[in-house]
Amino acid sequence: MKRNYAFAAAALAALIFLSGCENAQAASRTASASLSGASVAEIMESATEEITDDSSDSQSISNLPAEDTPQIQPLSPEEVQTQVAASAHDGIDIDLTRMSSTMVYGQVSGMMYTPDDYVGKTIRMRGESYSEYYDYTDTTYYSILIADATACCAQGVEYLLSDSAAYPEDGSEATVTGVFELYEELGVTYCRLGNASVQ
Amino acid sequence: MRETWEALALYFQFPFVRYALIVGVLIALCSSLLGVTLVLKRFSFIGDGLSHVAFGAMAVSAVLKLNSDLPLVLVITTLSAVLLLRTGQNAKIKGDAAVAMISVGSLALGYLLMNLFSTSANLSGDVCSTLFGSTSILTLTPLEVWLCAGLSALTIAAFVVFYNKIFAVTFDENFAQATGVNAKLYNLLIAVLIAVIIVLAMNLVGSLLISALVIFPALSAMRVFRSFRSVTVCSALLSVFCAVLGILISIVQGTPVGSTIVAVDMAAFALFSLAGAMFRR
Repeated sequence: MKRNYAFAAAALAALIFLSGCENAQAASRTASASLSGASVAEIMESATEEITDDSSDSQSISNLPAEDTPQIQPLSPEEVQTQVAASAHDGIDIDLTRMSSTMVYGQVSGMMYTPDDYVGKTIRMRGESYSEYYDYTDTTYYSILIADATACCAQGVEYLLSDSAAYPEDGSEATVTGVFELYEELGVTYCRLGNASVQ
Repeated sequence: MRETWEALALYFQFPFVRYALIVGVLIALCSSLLGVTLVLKRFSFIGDGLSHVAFGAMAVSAVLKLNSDLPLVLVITTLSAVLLLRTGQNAKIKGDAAVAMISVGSLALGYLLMNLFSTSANLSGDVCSTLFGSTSILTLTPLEVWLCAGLSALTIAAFVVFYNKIFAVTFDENFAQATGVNAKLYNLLIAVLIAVIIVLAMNLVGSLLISALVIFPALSAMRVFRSFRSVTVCSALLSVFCAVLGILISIVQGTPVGSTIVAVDMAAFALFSLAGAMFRR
Protein backbone atom coordinates (compact mmCIF):
# COMPACT_ATOMS: atom_id res chain seq x y z
CA MET A 1 0.00 0.00 0.00
CA LYS A 2 2.83 2.36 0.94
CA ARG A 3 4.56 1.54 -2.34
CA ASN A 4 1.43 2.51 -4.26
CA TYR A 5 1.20 5.82 -2.41
CA ALA A 6 4.85 6.47 -3.11
CA PHE A 7 4.48 5.82 -6.81
CA ALA A 8 1.36 7.95 -6.93
CA ALA A 9 3.15 10.82 -5.25
CA ALA A 10 6.12 10.50 -7.57
CA ALA A 11 3.86 10.36 -10.62
CA LEU A 12 1.89 13.39 -9.46
CA ALA A 13 5.04 15.38 -8.87
CA ALA A 14 6.35 14.39 -12.30
CA LEU A 15 3.06 15.39 -13.88
CA ILE A 16 3.14 18.80 -12.24
CA PHE A 17 6.74 19.24 -13.28
CA LEU A 18 6.03 18.30 -16.89
CA SER A 19 2.82 20.26 -17.43
CA GLY A 20 3.91 23.30 -15.49
CA CYS A 21 2.50 26.70 -15.98
CA GLU A 22 2.78 28.89 -19.09
CA ASN A 23 6.14 30.54 -19.38
CA ALA A 24 5.91 33.86 -21.14
CA GLN A 25 9.58 33.74 -22.09
CA ALA A 26 9.23 30.30 -23.63
CA ALA A 27 6.09 31.41 -25.44
CA SER A 28 7.89 34.42 -26.90
CA ARG A 29 10.66 32.20 -28.23
CA THR A 30 8.31 29.70 -29.80
CA ALA A 31 9.51 28.96 -33.30
CA SER A 32 7.37 28.28 -36.30
CA ALA A 33 8.62 28.56 -39.82
CA SER A 34 5.17 27.85 -41.17
CA LEU A 35 3.03 29.80 -38.73
CA SER A 36 3.10 33.51 -38.12
CA GLY A 37 3.07 35.07 -34.66
CA ALA A 38 -0.72 34.69 -34.69
CA SER A 39 -1.96 31.31 -33.64
CA VAL A 40 -4.66 29.47 -35.53
CA ALA A 41 -7.20 30.49 -32.91
CA GLU A 42 -6.43 34.18 -33.37
CA ILE A 43 -6.79 33.89 -37.15
CA MET A 44 -10.14 32.18 -36.71
CA GLU A 45 -11.22 34.98 -34.39
CA SER A 46 -10.16 37.72 -36.80
CA ALA A 47 -11.82 35.98 -39.71
CA THR A 48 -15.15 35.88 -37.95
CA GLU A 49 -15.11 39.19 -36.08
CA GLU A 50 -18.20 41.35 -36.27
CA ILE A 51 -18.41 44.36 -38.53
CA THR A 52 -18.39 47.27 -36.12
CA ASP A 53 -20.21 50.50 -36.52
CA ASP A 54 -18.62 53.06 -38.78
CA SER A 55 -18.76 56.62 -37.47
CA SER A 56 -19.91 57.90 -40.86
CA ASP A 57 -22.56 55.26 -41.16
CA SER A 58 -25.23 55.26 -38.52
CA GLN A 59 -26.53 51.87 -39.52
CA SER A 60 -25.42 48.88 -37.54
CA ILE A 61 -25.77 45.30 -38.49
CA SER A 62 -28.61 44.84 -36.10
CA ASN A 63 -30.52 47.65 -37.80
CA LEU A 64 -30.10 46.33 -41.31
CA PRO A 65 -32.87 44.40 -42.89
CA ALA A 66 -32.34 40.70 -42.76
CA GLU A 67 -31.73 40.42 -46.50
CA ASP A 68 -28.94 43.06 -46.28
CA THR A 69 -27.11 41.56 -43.38
CA PRO A 70 -23.68 40.46 -44.59
CA GLN A 71 -23.28 36.75 -44.25
CA ILE A 72 -19.99 36.05 -42.55
CA GLN A 73 -18.87 32.56 -43.32
CA PRO A 74 -16.28 31.37 -40.80
CA LEU A 75 -13.24 29.70 -42.34
CA SER A 76 -12.71 26.03 -41.77
CA PRO A 77 -9.60 25.04 -39.75
CA GLU A 78 -7.92 23.75 -42.91
CA GLU A 79 -8.52 27.03 -44.74
CA VAL A 80 -7.20 29.00 -41.80
CA GLN A 81 -4.08 26.82 -41.60
CA THR A 82 -3.42 27.35 -45.32
CA GLN A 83 -4.01 31.09 -45.02
CA VAL A 84 -1.68 31.39 -42.04
CA ALA A 85 1.04 29.32 -43.68
CA ALA A 86 0.84 31.26 -46.93
CA SER A 87 0.79 34.67 -45.33
CA ALA A 88 3.38 33.98 -42.70
CA HIS A 89 5.93 31.97 -44.64
CA ASP A 90 7.19 34.99 -46.63
CA GLY A 91 9.61 32.74 -48.43
CA ILE A 92 11.69 32.15 -45.28
CA ASP A 93 13.05 28.61 -45.16
CA ILE A 94 14.68 28.90 -41.73
CA ASP A 95 13.59 31.62 -39.31
CA LEU A 96 16.09 31.72 -36.47
CA THR A 97 14.36 34.70 -34.86
CA ARG A 98 11.62 32.40 -33.60
CA MET A 99 13.87 29.72 -32.09
CA SER A 100 15.44 29.35 -28.66
CA SER A 101 19.05 30.40 -28.25
CA THR A 102 20.21 26.80 -27.98
CA MET A 103 18.51 25.89 -31.25
CA VAL A 104 19.88 28.98 -32.96
CA TYR A 105 23.43 28.19 -31.98
CA GLY A 106 23.05 24.57 -33.08
CA GLN A 107 21.52 25.68 -36.38
CA VAL A 108 24.25 28.22 -37.09
CA SER A 109 26.93 25.68 -36.15
CA GLY A 110 25.31 23.32 -38.63
CA MET A 111 25.58 26.00 -41.31
CA MET A 112 29.28 26.29 -40.65
CA TYR A 113 29.99 22.56 -40.49
CA THR A 114 27.68 21.38 -43.31
CA PRO A 115 27.12 24.46 -45.47
CA ASP A 116 26.08 22.45 -48.52
CA ASP A 117 22.83 21.53 -46.73
CA TYR A 118 21.85 25.19 -46.51
CA VAL A 119 22.89 26.63 -49.89
CA GLY A 120 20.00 28.38 -51.60
CA LYS A 121 17.84 28.56 -48.49
CA THR A 122 16.42 31.85 -47.28
CA ILE A 123 17.38 32.41 -43.69
CA ARG A 124 16.41 35.07 -41.19
CA MET A 125 18.52 35.65 -38.11
CA ARG A 126 18.91 38.24 -35.40
CA GLY A 127 22.07 39.17 -33.56
CA GLU A 128 24.66 41.85 -33.14
CA SER A 129 26.08 43.29 -36.31
CA TYR A 130 29.80 43.84 -36.61
CA SER A 131 32.11 44.90 -39.38
CA GLU A 132 35.74 44.16 -40.08
CA TYR A 133 37.99 45.65 -42.74
CA TYR A 134 40.75 43.52 -44.25
CA ASP A 135 43.69 45.16 -46.03
CA TYR A 136 44.60 42.34 -48.40
CA THR A 137 41.13 42.25 -49.96
CA ASP A 138 40.39 45.94 -49.41
CA THR A 139 36.91 44.92 -48.31
CA THR A 140 34.76 45.48 -45.27
CA TYR A 141 32.97 42.38 -44.13
CA TYR A 142 29.76 42.50 -42.13
CA SER A 143 28.53 39.72 -39.92
CA ILE A 144 25.81 38.86 -37.48
CA LEU A 145 27.12 37.45 -34.18
CA ILE A 146 24.97 34.93 -32.32
CA ALA A 147 25.90 33.75 -28.82
CA ASP A 148 24.92 30.41 -27.32
CA ALA A 149 22.86 29.89 -24.16
CA THR A 150 25.79 30.46 -21.83
CA ALA A 151 26.99 33.44 -23.87
CA CYS A 152 30.52 32.07 -23.73
CA CYS A 153 30.58 30.91 -27.32
CA ALA A 154 29.55 32.89 -30.35
CA GLN A 155 29.03 32.04 -33.96
CA GLY A 156 29.07 34.62 -36.71
CA VAL A 157 27.53 34.60 -40.16
CA GLU A 158 28.65 37.07 -42.81
CA TYR A 159 26.00 38.90 -44.78
CA LEU A 160 25.97 41.10 -47.89
CA LEU A 161 23.14 43.54 -48.50
CA SER A 162 21.48 43.40 -51.89
CA ASP A 163 21.25 47.12 -52.40
CA SER A 164 23.05 50.21 -51.29
CA ALA A 165 21.26 50.34 -47.96
CA ALA A 166 23.26 51.41 -44.95
CA TYR A 167 24.71 48.71 -42.77
CA PRO A 168 23.88 48.75 -39.04
CA GLU A 169 26.30 50.23 -36.60
CA ASP A 170 28.76 47.91 -34.91
CA GLY A 171 27.29 46.32 -31.82
CA SER A 172 23.69 47.13 -32.70
CA GLU A 173 21.09 44.41 -32.87
CA ALA A 174 19.85 43.67 -36.36
CA THR A 175 17.60 41.21 -38.12
CA VAL A 176 19.03 40.01 -41.42
CA THR A 177 17.22 38.01 -44.07
CA GLY A 178 19.19 36.58 -46.94
CA VAL A 179 19.98 33.59 -49.12
CA PHE A 180 22.70 31.27 -47.85
CA GLU A 181 25.49 31.00 -50.39
CA LEU A 182 29.10 29.93 -50.73
CA TYR A 183 31.76 32.04 -52.35
CA GLU A 184 35.45 31.69 -52.90
CA GLU A 185 38.06 34.28 -52.08
CA LEU A 186 41.82 33.86 -52.32
CA GLY A 187 41.36 30.12 -52.68
CA VAL A 188 39.26 29.75 -49.54
CA THR A 189 35.54 28.98 -49.56
CA TYR A 190 33.37 31.10 -47.28
CA CYS A 191 29.67 31.19 -46.59
CA ARG A 192 27.40 34.18 -46.14
CA LEU A 193 23.86 35.44 -46.47
CA GLY A 194 23.73 37.04 -49.89
CA ASN A 195 21.08 39.28 -51.43
CA ALA A 196 20.27 40.26 -47.86
CA SER A 197 18.03 42.83 -46.31
CA VAL A 198 18.33 44.22 -42.82
CA GLN A 199 15.75 45.46 -40.33
CA MET B 1 1.90 24.27 -23.58
CA ARG B 2 0.42 24.25 -27.08
CA GLU B 3 3.12 26.58 -28.36
CA THR B 4 5.71 24.27 -26.81
CA TRP B 5 4.38 21.26 -28.72
CA GLU B 6 4.30 23.28 -31.93
CA ALA B 7 7.88 24.37 -31.37
CA LEU B 8 8.99 20.79 -30.72
CA ALA B 9 7.19 19.60 -33.86
CA LEU B 10 9.16 22.17 -35.84
CA TYR B 11 12.46 21.41 -34.15
CA PHE B 12 12.17 17.70 -34.90
CA GLN B 13 12.30 18.55 -38.59
CA PHE B 14 15.95 19.49 -38.22
CA PRO B 15 18.41 16.58 -38.52
CA PHE B 16 20.75 17.83 -35.83
CA VAL B 17 17.96 17.65 -33.24
CA ARG B 18 17.20 14.05 -34.15
CA TYR B 19 20.90 13.23 -34.03
CA ALA B 20 21.15 14.82 -30.59
CA LEU B 21 18.27 12.74 -29.25
CA ILE B 22 19.59 9.49 -30.72
CA VAL B 23 23.09 10.01 -29.35
CA GLY B 24 21.74 11.32 -26.05
CA VAL B 25 19.66 8.19 -25.54
CA LEU B 26 22.55 5.87 -26.39
CA ILE B 27 25.04 7.67 -24.17
CA ALA B 28 22.61 7.86 -21.27
CA LEU B 29 21.87 4.16 -21.58
CA CYS B 30 25.53 3.11 -21.68
CA SER B 31 26.63 5.40 -18.86
CA SER B 32 23.85 4.24 -16.56
CA LEU B 33 24.69 0.56 -17.07
CA LEU B 34 28.30 1.02 -16.06
CA GLY B 35 27.34 3.60 -13.46
CA VAL B 36 25.88 0.94 -11.19
CA THR B 37 29.15 -0.97 -11.21
CA LEU B 38 31.23 2.14 -10.59
CA VAL B 39 29.10 3.32 -7.69
CA LEU B 40 29.26 -0.08 -6.03
CA LYS B 41 33.03 -0.32 -6.55
CA ARG B 42 33.43 3.13 -4.93
CA PHE B 43 34.71 4.62 -8.17
CA SER B 44 31.98 7.24 -8.60
CA PHE B 45 34.44 9.94 -9.53
CA ILE B 46 36.21 7.89 -12.15
CA GLY B 47 33.99 9.52 -14.77
CA ASP B 48 35.17 12.93 -13.73
CA GLY B 49 38.80 11.88 -13.71
CA LEU B 50 38.69 10.17 -17.07
CA SER B 51 36.82 13.07 -18.64
CA HIS B 52 39.62 15.38 -17.57
CA VAL B 53 42.10 12.96 -19.10
CA ALA B 54 40.05 13.07 -22.29
CA PHE B 55 40.14 16.86 -22.17
CA GLY B 56 43.92 16.75 -21.91
CA ALA B 57 44.05 14.29 -24.80
CA MET B 58 41.85 16.59 -26.88
CA ALA B 59 44.27 19.43 -26.18
CA VAL B 60 47.18 17.30 -27.36
CA SER B 61 45.19 16.37 -30.45
CA ALA B 62 44.45 20.04 -31.17
CA VAL B 63 48.12 20.98 -30.76
CA LEU B 64 49.14 18.20 -33.12
CA LYS B 65 46.43 19.43 -35.54
CA LEU B 66 44.97 16.00 -36.06
CA ASN B 67 41.99 15.73 -38.41
CA SER B 68 40.03 13.66 -35.92
CA ASP B 69 40.74 13.70 -32.21
CA LEU B 70 38.69 10.57 -31.41
CA PRO B 71 41.41 7.91 -31.90
CA LEU B 72 43.99 9.68 -29.75
CA VAL B 73 41.46 10.63 -27.07
CA LEU B 74 40.12 7.10 -26.96
CA VAL B 75 43.55 5.53 -26.65
CA ILE B 76 44.81 7.85 -23.91
CA THR B 77 41.55 7.67 -21.97
CA THR B 78 41.50 3.88 -22.18
CA LEU B 79 45.08 3.62 -20.93
CA SER B 80 44.23 5.86 -18.00
CA ALA B 81 41.13 3.83 -17.22
CA VAL B 82 43.16 0.65 -17.28
CA LEU B 83 45.70 2.17 -14.90
CA LEU B 84 43.00 3.25 -12.52
CA LEU B 85 40.67 0.26 -12.58
CA ARG B 86 42.61 -2.79 -13.64
CA THR B 87 44.63 -2.89 -10.47
CA GLY B 88 41.36 -3.28 -8.61
CA GLN B 89 41.23 -3.36 -4.84
CA ASN B 90 44.90 -4.15 -4.32
CA ALA B 91 46.37 -1.00 -5.87
CA LYS B 92 49.16 0.82 -4.04
CA ILE B 93 47.55 4.17 -4.67
CA LYS B 94 43.89 3.74 -3.87
CA GLY B 95 40.99 4.81 -6.07
CA ASP B 96 40.26 8.36 -4.96
CA ALA B 97 43.88 9.48 -4.76
CA ALA B 98 44.75 7.96 -8.11
CA VAL B 99 41.72 9.51 -9.76
CA ALA B 100 42.46 12.91 -8.29
CA MET B 101 46.09 12.78 -9.35
CA ILE B 102 45.41 11.88 -12.94
CA SER B 103 42.34 14.09 -13.20
CA VAL B 104 43.85 17.33 -12.01
CA GLY B 105 47.10 16.78 -13.82
CA SER B 106 45.39 16.13 -17.16
CA LEU B 107 43.07 19.11 -16.84
CA ALA B 108 45.90 21.47 -15.99
CA LEU B 109 48.22 20.16 -18.71
CA GLY B 110 45.44 20.23 -21.28
CA TYR B 111 44.51 23.83 -20.57
CA LEU B 112 48.18 24.82 -20.50
CA LEU B 113 48.82 23.23 -23.88
CA MET B 114 45.76 24.88 -25.41
CA ASN B 115 46.91 28.28 -24.22
CA LEU B 116 50.52 27.83 -25.29
CA PHE B 117 49.73 26.37 -28.71
CA SER B 118 46.32 27.85 -29.40
CA THR B 119 44.92 26.98 -32.83
CA SER B 120 41.41 28.32 -32.31
CA ALA B 121 40.02 31.80 -32.82
CA ASN B 122 37.83 31.40 -29.77
CA LEU B 123 39.85 29.45 -27.22
CA SER B 124 37.68 30.22 -24.22
CA GLY B 125 34.57 29.27 -26.17
CA ASP B 126 36.03 25.94 -27.22
CA VAL B 127 37.19 25.19 -23.67
CA CYS B 128 33.84 26.20 -22.22
CA SER B 129 31.94 24.09 -24.69
CA THR B 130 34.18 21.07 -24.00
CA LEU B 131 33.92 21.46 -20.23
CA PHE B 132 30.19 22.11 -19.98
CA GLY B 133 28.85 20.62 -23.21
CA SER B 134 26.56 23.58 -23.82
CA THR B 135 25.76 22.81 -27.46
CA SER B 136 28.19 20.09 -28.52
CA ILE B 137 25.42 17.52 -28.80
CA LEU B 138 23.67 19.73 -31.37
CA THR B 139 26.65 19.88 -33.71
CA LEU B 140 27.07 16.19 -34.50
CA THR B 141 27.70 14.97 -38.02
CA PRO B 142 26.04 11.79 -39.38
CA LEU B 143 29.41 10.04 -39.19
CA GLU B 144 29.73 10.86 -35.51
CA VAL B 145 26.21 9.58 -34.91
CA TRP B 146 27.01 6.28 -36.60
CA LEU B 147 30.25 6.01 -34.66
CA CYS B 148 28.45 6.63 -31.41
CA ALA B 149 25.79 4.11 -32.30
CA GLY B 150 28.40 1.47 -33.08
CA LEU B 151 30.39 2.04 -29.91
CA SER B 152 27.21 2.11 -27.82
CA ALA B 153 26.02 -1.15 -29.34
CA LEU B 154 29.36 -2.77 -28.50
CA THR B 155 29.21 -1.46 -24.95
CA ILE B 156 25.68 -2.68 -24.35
CA ALA B 157 26.45 -6.04 -25.92
CA ALA B 158 29.53 -6.47 -23.74
CA PHE B 159 27.54 -5.61 -20.63
CA VAL B 160 24.76 -8.04 -21.49
CA VAL B 161 27.10 -10.89 -22.47
CA PHE B 162 29.37 -10.54 -19.43
CA TYR B 163 26.65 -9.46 -17.01
CA ASN B 164 27.21 -12.29 -14.52
CA LYS B 165 30.99 -11.84 -14.45
CA ILE B 166 30.69 -8.08 -14.05
CA PHE B 167 28.25 -8.67 -11.22
CA ALA B 168 30.69 -11.00 -9.46
CA VAL B 169 33.67 -8.68 -9.88
CA THR B 170 31.63 -5.71 -8.70
CA PHE B 171 30.50 -7.14 -5.37
CA ASP B 172 33.47 -9.25 -4.27
CA GLU B 173 36.51 -9.27 -6.46
CA ASN B 174 38.58 -11.57 -4.23
CA PHE B 175 35.79 -14.13 -3.99
CA ALA B 176 35.29 -13.98 -7.74
CA GLN B 177 39.01 -14.55 -8.23
CA ALA B 178 38.91 -17.48 -5.82
CA THR B 179 36.04 -19.11 -7.69
CA GLY B 180 37.93 -19.04 -10.96
CA VAL B 181 36.71 -15.78 -12.48
CA ASN B 182 39.51 -13.85 -14.13
CA ALA B 183 38.91 -10.69 -12.14
CA LYS B 184 41.79 -8.81 -13.74
CA LEU B 185 40.41 -9.44 -17.21
CA TYR B 186 36.96 -8.22 -16.28
CA ASN B 187 38.39 -5.20 -14.51
CA LEU B 188 40.18 -4.48 -17.77
CA LEU B 189 36.92 -4.89 -19.68
CA ILE B 190 35.12 -2.51 -17.33
CA ALA B 191 37.96 -0.02 -17.70
CA VAL B 192 37.79 -0.09 -21.49
CA LEU B 193 34.00 0.25 -21.50
CA ILE B 194 34.16 3.17 -19.11
CA ALA B 195 36.74 4.94 -21.26
CA VAL B 196 34.59 4.54 -24.37
CA ILE B 197 31.51 5.84 -22.58
CA ILE B 198 33.36 8.82 -21.12
CA VAL B 199 34.69 9.88 -24.51
CA LEU B 200 31.20 9.62 -26.00
CA ALA B 201 29.53 11.35 -23.07
CA MET B 202 31.74 14.41 -23.35
CA ASN B 203 29.70 15.41 -26.39
CA LEU B 204 26.51 15.28 -24.34
CA VAL B 205 27.26 16.89 -21.02
CA GLY B 206 30.86 18.05 -21.24
CA SER B 207 33.85 17.05 -19.13
CA LEU B 208 32.81 18.55 -15.83
CA LEU B 209 29.33 17.06 -15.70
CA ILE B 210 29.97 13.50 -16.87
CA SER B 211 29.99 12.18 -13.32
CA ALA B 212 26.38 13.20 -12.94
CA LEU B 213 25.38 11.10 -15.92
CA VAL B 214 27.13 8.09 -14.39
CA ILE B 215 26.19 8.56 -10.74
CA PHE B 216 22.73 10.04 -10.48
CA PRO B 217 20.68 7.36 -12.27
CA ALA B 218 22.36 4.57 -10.30
CA LEU B 219 21.95 6.33 -6.96
CA SER B 220 18.35 7.20 -7.73
CA ALA B 221 17.54 3.58 -8.53
CA MET B 222 19.26 2.44 -5.34
CA ARG B 223 16.88 4.59 -3.29
CA VAL B 224 13.99 2.36 -4.32
CA PHE B 225 15.29 -0.99 -5.52
CA ARG B 226 17.62 -3.48 -3.86
CA SER B 227 18.68 -6.17 -6.34
CA PHE B 228 21.50 -5.56 -8.82
CA ARG B 229 19.30 -6.41 -11.81
CA SER B 230 16.41 -4.14 -10.80
CA VAL B 231 18.78 -1.28 -9.98
CA THR B 232 20.45 -1.66 -13.36
CA VAL B 233 17.19 -1.72 -15.29
CA CYS B 234 15.73 1.20 -13.36
CA SER B 235 18.96 3.16 -13.74
CA ALA B 236 18.96 2.65 -17.50
CA LEU B 237 15.33 3.68 -17.96
CA LEU B 238 15.69 6.67 -15.68
CA SER B 239 18.88 7.85 -17.35
CA VAL B 240 17.33 7.69 -20.82
CA PHE B 241 14.21 9.50 -19.65
CA CYS B 242 16.18 12.26 -17.95
CA ALA B 243 18.49 12.70 -20.95
CA VAL B 244 15.59 13.03 -23.39
CA LEU B 245 13.70 15.36 -21.11
CA GLY B 246 16.82 17.45 -20.49
CA ILE B 247 17.54 17.81 -24.19
CA LEU B 248 13.96 18.78 -24.99
CA ILE B 249 13.81 21.33 -22.19
CA SER B 250 17.12 22.86 -23.23
CA ILE B 251 16.16 23.32 -26.87
CA VAL B 252 12.77 24.79 -26.00
CA GLN B 253 13.90 27.02 -23.15
CA GLY B 254 17.31 27.91 -24.60
CA THR B 255 19.34 26.54 -21.69
CA PRO B 256 22.71 24.72 -21.86
CA VAL B 257 22.13 21.07 -22.71
CA GLY B 258 24.55 19.46 -20.26
CA SER B 259 23.47 21.47 -17.23
CA THR B 260 19.80 20.91 -17.99
CA ILE B 261 20.24 17.15 -18.19
CA VAL B 262 22.05 17.15 -14.86
CA ALA B 263 19.32 19.30 -13.30
CA VAL B 264 16.69 16.80 -14.44
CA ASP B 265 18.83 13.98 -13.01
CA MET B 266 18.96 15.80 -9.69
CA ALA B 267 15.19 16.27 -9.67
CA ALA B 268 14.73 12.58 -10.38
CA PHE B 269 17.11 11.71 -7.53
CA ALA B 270 15.06 13.86 -5.18
CA LEU B 271 11.83 12.16 -6.27
CA PHE B 272 13.28 8.69 -5.90
CA SER B 273 14.78 9.55 -2.51
CA LEU B 274 11.34 10.66 -1.38
CA ALA B 275 9.79 7.50 -2.70
CA GLY B 276 12.46 5.40 -1.05
CA ALA B 277 11.92 7.14 2.28
CA MET B 278 8.21 6.43 2.06
CA PHE B 279 8.85 2.73 1.32
CA ARG B 280 11.06 2.34 4.35
CA ARG B 281 8.42 3.63 6.81
